[in-house]
Amino acid sequence: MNNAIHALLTTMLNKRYIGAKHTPEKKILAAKTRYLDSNSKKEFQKEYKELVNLGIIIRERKRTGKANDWHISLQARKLPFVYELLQKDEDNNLQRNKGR
Amino acid sequence: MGAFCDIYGQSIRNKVLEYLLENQKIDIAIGDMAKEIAISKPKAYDLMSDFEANDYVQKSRLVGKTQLYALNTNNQRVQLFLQHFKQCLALVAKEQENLLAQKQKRKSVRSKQRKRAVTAHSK
Repeated sequence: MNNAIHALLTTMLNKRYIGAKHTPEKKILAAKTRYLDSNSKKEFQKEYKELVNLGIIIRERKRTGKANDWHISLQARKLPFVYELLQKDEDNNLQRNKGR
Repeated sequence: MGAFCDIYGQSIRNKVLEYLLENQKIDIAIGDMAKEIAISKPKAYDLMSDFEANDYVQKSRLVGKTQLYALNTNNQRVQLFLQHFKQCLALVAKEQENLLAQKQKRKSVRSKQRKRAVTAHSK
């Protein structure tokens, strides 16, 4: 799992952006990818697309002011899956560090 | 703020800690952090210098003129923070599960009531 994706999912879970509680997509993605290389940015985009296609992240167009913006939140029914993903990633990292 | 600050208090220090724990795997810049958490930059720099002195945080790399910092996961106190943060996330996931279970219960009760009403009406 890309480190920025891990950061994105932990932020959304911690701040409880679940279901009807959503956040602007541009803002949060820009915050997580600001200091990444071009390669890691491409990886991030791929994995993010996968998460949206799997339905883990809900992406909706919301009316803000006079225009529309894309907002994202986590799918409430797939939260256990998100938590397992994060746990697996940390376990993998622990094993890698032990091997070193 | 998030679940971590809800449990451990809404102080500025806890807000910064929470931000660092959320972004444990990526580098962060102090100015961006101050903007996102809505604290003043002088306070953010002050706190980060404290954290650096306590070895919670390390300088990682320079991007142009911006110094980036990363969480020092080898520090035992930071590992404690990470454990607590994990438990906070687990709590959030559990609370959401319970909410969903309650909603489904209510749905099933309502559907049963409707069925009874329909059968009573048909009789």
